[in-house]
Amino acid sequence: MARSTPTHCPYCSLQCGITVDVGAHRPTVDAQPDFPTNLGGLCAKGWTAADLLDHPDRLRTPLVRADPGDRRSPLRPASWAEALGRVAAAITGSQDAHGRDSVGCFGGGGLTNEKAYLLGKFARVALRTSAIDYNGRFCMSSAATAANRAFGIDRGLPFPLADVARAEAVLVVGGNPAETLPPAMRFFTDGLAAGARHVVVDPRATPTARAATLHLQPTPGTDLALANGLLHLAIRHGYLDAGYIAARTTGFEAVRAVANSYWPDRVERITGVPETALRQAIGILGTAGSALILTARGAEQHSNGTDTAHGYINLALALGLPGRPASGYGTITGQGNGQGGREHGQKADQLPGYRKLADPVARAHVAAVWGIDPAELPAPGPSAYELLDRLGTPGGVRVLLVIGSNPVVSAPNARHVLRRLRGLDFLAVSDIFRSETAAEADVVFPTAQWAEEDGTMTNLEGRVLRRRRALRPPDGVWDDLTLLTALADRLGRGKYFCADPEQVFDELCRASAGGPADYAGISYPRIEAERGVFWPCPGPGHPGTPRLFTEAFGTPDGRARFVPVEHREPAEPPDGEYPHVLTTGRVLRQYQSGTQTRRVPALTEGTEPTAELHPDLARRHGIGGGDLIELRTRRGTARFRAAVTDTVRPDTIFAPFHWGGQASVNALTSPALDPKSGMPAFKACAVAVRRLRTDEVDSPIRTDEPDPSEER
Amino acid sequence: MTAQPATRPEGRTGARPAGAHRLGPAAAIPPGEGRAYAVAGTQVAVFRLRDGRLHALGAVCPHAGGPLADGQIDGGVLVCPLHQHVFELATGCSRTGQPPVPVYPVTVDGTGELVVEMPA
Amino acid sequence: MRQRLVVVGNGMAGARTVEEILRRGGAEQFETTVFGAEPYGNYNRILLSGVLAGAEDEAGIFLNGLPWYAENGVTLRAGIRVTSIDRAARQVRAADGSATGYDKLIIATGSRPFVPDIAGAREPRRGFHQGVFCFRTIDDTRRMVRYARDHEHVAVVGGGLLGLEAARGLQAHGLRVTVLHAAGHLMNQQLDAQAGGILRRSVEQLGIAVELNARTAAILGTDAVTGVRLTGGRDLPCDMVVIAAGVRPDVELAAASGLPVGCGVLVDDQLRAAADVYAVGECAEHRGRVYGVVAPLWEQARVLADHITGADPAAAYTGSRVATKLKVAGVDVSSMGVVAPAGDDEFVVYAEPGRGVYKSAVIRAGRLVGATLVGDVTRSAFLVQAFDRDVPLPADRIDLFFDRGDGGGAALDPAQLADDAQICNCNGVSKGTLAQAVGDGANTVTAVMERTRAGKGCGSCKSLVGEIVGWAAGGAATVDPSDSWYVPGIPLAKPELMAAIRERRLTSVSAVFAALAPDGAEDAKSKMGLASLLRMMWPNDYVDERDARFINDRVHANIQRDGTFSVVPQLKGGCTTPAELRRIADVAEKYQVPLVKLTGGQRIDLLGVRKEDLPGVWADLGLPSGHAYAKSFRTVKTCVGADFCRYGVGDSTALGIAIESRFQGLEGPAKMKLAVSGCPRNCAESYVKDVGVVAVDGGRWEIYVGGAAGAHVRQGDLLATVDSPDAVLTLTGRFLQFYRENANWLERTYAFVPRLGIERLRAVLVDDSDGMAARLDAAVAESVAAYRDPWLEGGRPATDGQFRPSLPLIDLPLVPAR
Repeated sequence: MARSTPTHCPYCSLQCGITVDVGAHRPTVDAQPDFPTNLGGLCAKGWTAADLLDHPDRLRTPLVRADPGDRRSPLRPASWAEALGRVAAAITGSQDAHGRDSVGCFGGGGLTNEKAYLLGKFARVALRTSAIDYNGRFCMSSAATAANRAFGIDRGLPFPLADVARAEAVLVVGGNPAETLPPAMRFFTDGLAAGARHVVVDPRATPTARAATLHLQPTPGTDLALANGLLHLAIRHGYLDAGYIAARTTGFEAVRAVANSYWPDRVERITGVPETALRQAIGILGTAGSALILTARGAEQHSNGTDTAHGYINLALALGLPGRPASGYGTITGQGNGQGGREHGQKADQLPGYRKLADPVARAHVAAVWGIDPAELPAPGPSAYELLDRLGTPGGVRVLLVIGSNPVVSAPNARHVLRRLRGLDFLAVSDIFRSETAAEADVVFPTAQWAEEDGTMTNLEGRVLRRRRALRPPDGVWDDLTLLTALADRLGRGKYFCADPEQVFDELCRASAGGPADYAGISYPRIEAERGVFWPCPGPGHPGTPRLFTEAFGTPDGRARFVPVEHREPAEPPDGEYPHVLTTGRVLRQYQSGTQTRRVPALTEGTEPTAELHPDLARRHGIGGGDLIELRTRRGTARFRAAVTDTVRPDTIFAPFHWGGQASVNALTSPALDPKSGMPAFKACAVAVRRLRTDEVDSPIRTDEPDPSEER
Repeated sequence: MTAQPATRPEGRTGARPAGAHRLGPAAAIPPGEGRAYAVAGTQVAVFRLRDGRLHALGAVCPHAGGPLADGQIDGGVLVCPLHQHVFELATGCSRTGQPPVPVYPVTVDGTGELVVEMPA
Repeated sequence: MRQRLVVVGNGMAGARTVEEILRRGGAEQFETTVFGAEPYGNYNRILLSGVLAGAEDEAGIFLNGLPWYAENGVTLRAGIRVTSIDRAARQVRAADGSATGYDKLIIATGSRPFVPDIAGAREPRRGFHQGVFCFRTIDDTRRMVRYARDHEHVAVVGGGLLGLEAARGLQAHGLRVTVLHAAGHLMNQQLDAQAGGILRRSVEQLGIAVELNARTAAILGTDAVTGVRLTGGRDLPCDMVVIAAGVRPDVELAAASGLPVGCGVLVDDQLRAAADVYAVGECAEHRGRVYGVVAPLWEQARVLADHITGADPAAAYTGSRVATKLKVAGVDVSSMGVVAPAGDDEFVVYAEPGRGVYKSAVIRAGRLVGATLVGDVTRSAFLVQAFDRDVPLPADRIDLFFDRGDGGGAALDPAQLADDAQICNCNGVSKGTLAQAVGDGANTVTAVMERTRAGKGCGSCKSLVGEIVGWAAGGAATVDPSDSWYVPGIPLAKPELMAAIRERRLTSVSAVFAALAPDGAEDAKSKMGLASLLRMMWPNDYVDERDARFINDRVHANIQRDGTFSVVPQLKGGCTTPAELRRIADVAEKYQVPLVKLTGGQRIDLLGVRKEDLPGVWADLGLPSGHAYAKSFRTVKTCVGADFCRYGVGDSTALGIAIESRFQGLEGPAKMKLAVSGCPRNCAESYVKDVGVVAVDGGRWEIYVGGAAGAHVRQGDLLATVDSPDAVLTLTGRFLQFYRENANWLERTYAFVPRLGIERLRAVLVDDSDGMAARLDAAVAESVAAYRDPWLEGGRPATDGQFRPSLPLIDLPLVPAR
């Protein structure tokens, strides 16, 4: 007799509504026919999500090193008691010898709100360390930083996704929903079908770009110049909403002055976007009755990502969009809980409810909820890459607990990060599979996955959703709440922790009360009854907030901020030695570091890590389609199968980031950080390319274990 | 119109006397609609198009006996009200895979009377 | 203690350098003073031609207004010319007699107009001759604009960039313009002869006269200009002269101060002219080159700022690649790098003089080293980047000049596609898989999509899936564009159709066909939908053409399989009385009604009534129509509500009757069945109605929409919970009207509601996100007001023989035809 449990897809931020049917046979997934964000649609990843549940590679017991302390010795199964014992010992030992900050935590944007919250609390209350951050730093931090400054609130989309279908004009910058959130594409195509005009900015002619009314194909890293150029034209063509600027914003004059020096032929030369296309684009945005401006990682993952986000927010404000019907600025969140994951305290500088860890009032409130003395709370710590970069170095973290993340593949300059991880005294990893990072650990904890746990996720719209348990985890597998609670217990702080998801959530809601991301009025029953609740929701009687900013912004004076921003050359412009631009991204059938999707045969069969380059570029280097090529940057090399296509600019090479080993594109990417957000420059660095000689080729490319060329 | 003398009808079962038959004033059919007549034991539906053209066809749908005179028409076809089968007004041929319905020449005489020609 | 930084020159180079220095935290390091010869802030000189032409207003061209300097702690000495530099004393002296000390000095004096030796150009004490102008500053521009007002013919000396800009600008003021160019072709700095020739033709077509090889010897006229004399002695009458013969670096000050000067102030890779003295911009000469366009100036400014602030001690300026792109006298011109090929260079040329188009490219060792575009500059974006960044060039050189697209829009022919061709990327469905599904009996696009999951991701492959299914099914199951049409006979989707109807005020079905159908052809299958749509759009002005109605609507009863009709009188809320029941019984007997049946909508159905009996039946019933035959508001099913039921919390019966009384007979794209339940036990099945109302505690009512329990079963979505029956009536009407206006023909609410999404509906109908609620309420009210019980027609038929039988018939008396 099959049981059908409504829950949500384990992958991206769209969190498609699905049902998991568990019966005599393998669990199966189906789409909820009318869930508002996917309307019955699912992508290949979603349809095959159940294949992960009973996957043979699944970790089913804790693993420890045969010789404690020697990470070259094999991992062997162990009891939870032994594994927890080793971790607790390592923590206390290190903290006694090297101080509290010698122990750190690294979280993920895929964790439920409950886990993200409890991990942050674990760091601050059980470990009392300042060293905690998460991989969302590599994802949303630029747009988040900009939105917080400009609007006073960072909610990816301050409006329901359905507004996309209603907007008369949409500008998408560096985003490719057709391949990264396929079901969301319906809202775009519906809008187009209803006569809307869409502009997509992307160095590649992606399916999203090809579906749009107009495709602008700029040099990677020049999106900010493009934004200022569009604003320049908006000013000249009189598209500004002077009333709105006067009534709802501050700081326009400084931005106008900056925009003055972005005349079209200058912008054309910087971006490579023809002047005529620039004029068309601003015409579409400026004359529409309603318009949305959306940015995504392509615009944000640069050393000037925050400024770039500001550039597009400036444009949106100048056109008077935010807070208007079917209008505004938003960023398309990537990871499953990229939104909730950045709200509840696993960020270095942050407490639950999107509070600032440095703010005395916030510290007092949260400390009260946690029943500790505010003075016990550590200060803000280093951001993700800084934390990883200092691992095992003096003053850096020596014992690291990684939950729900695979930095060996996903961090920039990944080989360097791998070396740093190997410099740790002790590494503990909790994951469902033996990820590249888990393979480096002293202790590995097997953890429950999506369909085996209860919790909440907050999707790209800021809609809080219920992830429901459809079946029990395999014997011997715990969930991370239980893990953290048990660990806290061994550290003598158990009384502050509880492993029941609903109780954790209720505590989270209390902790968030009064903060920017206020969940106080949300509860499991409410989410279930209302199929999700939009935060902020300050009280049980409050309906939630599908649309933000209709009356005022989250800033102290309620006005949005214009922020003057200037184009800068990418941190690493091409030169004679590294003559081309490397940009990275996702492909449809893979997800993030591939820990999950690379294990689903239906998604991987016949797919090899492939880099795209333009026929003219290929010709210059004597490369043909299907050849094995080597990409080289100042940080390292990686090899890919060449796909020769004119959908990419002739000066740009695109490579996906889902693979490790020899195809680890993040062995190449630049760790140059955005000074404001700590975002690495994933999306543009200088690269050289060559065709591999046959005697160098040992295909297929090895993506399983770290590149053997790496000494240990 | 042929001037051959018409013969008396011999009841509904009787033979079908060929020739012209008067059916009353054409104006009795509202523009764009149809009306049914019995002509020498044969059910005939006469349609008056909005442009004044006239068409006469068998009045019974070969599919399920639907009253074709109650159907909707346009410049070219007639749609049966029961199951929406479509017939060409000019030829009686079905466009939805049904057997054809007979068509009859129909005109208006000097006095504005409908005159339908029954075949021999 | 901060160093004193003095910048001589407040133009695009000087001011930019200051900006770059501030951006590098220079405010802490330097106490900055800027001298500007002009009494303004820093403006964008490039836009002056726009100001001259009246296309730009002065305010719009300022990059740094006067306040900017104060806000950034910079002292601006606007309108004060620096007269000398005392390098020994490390100070600059200015025209106002002041002396300003410096630790670091930046010279950014830019250029000054070059005035060839022309007799009479200057007057002894008065500077330029009355009516003679240069074109460099905002003041020059103002003067020209002022002078142009009451003069007629201007001679522009110089056919370069600036001269042509001046010519076009002054032409905009109604002057006759003649350009006198000393060289053999226009813009000889940037263009080769052929391009120059093409540009000349375009310029002349704009009504600007061009004289080549024309050297100006003298300016004629004593008080005011009366003409110019060309070398060779020919005179050209004119009353205004603009000298635009190019510019020269302004090195006077530097030279006088003993700085090394060639063509410009000589600087090294740090823009250094001497210890602590720098020169930047048009006045600087670097590696033998002087730059006159903005980009290099700003590159210099960046390097100088990096150097002088120490932000990047290694910063070095190594020269710039020069590219210019402008509208020259209304003609687009883009030029970069070298003009002509040398040695083994490839030289690619495309010339189309007729259209004024010229394109050339110089390729050296596979790299673009120069390009010229005249008339059509759409490819300049690609070319300038290829020039700047050594982007690989297309093998087919023609692609340098033309974006021939990728033909991506080309339609795919399903037959041509390979079997393994991926159709749905999201779910990895190949053409073969789709064909297979069709073979296995899935013969509709939807069925195939359900089975294969094709199109269930982003949905963008749907049309292709449709084509392939159609191909596989031999055309039996294709999705064609007409799917989006509201009715098959008019190639328009509902919004466009309604717009066209409103725009042209089409109030009758025949008018719609005449105006909007291909060849104005009627279409039988479209009539019913159009009739319903028009009645909705024009409640009062609709011109009712009976032939547009389906038979049911012609005779207000539901046709049955044998051609008889069913009659369903209205029993509001399913309530009736003994008297009504008696009358119904009598009618049933009198007309030998074969079957009397209770309907699912809580009414009584008299089946098998002959068409000709309908008027009589209605008359004898004495009840209004229940509209059980129409695509319209049908019935409101209710439970017994609060009066009798021991659970009832709201008077569902009364509310049901109120709703039915208000919206009875309202036409729509499909039928609308409603219900009101007095409590969540939902005895009236409100959850599965088009609109279902449920009373909940506290006198509140829940309104569900989009429910169905027919062939398709769906639970309605909660639209809102309201406090009063009135609110229910309002919201119901608003929803029904929105549905009438937006649903497709025959699209029931169970399809309509999920299609738009309850969120969207809530936003529009409850939160009034689109500000249309009031209009919807008014529109439905108008329809309600226009309602009239159709059964009244029983008394006076609308057409001849409206109720004449169509089958079976008795012979007419046969009359011989003459």
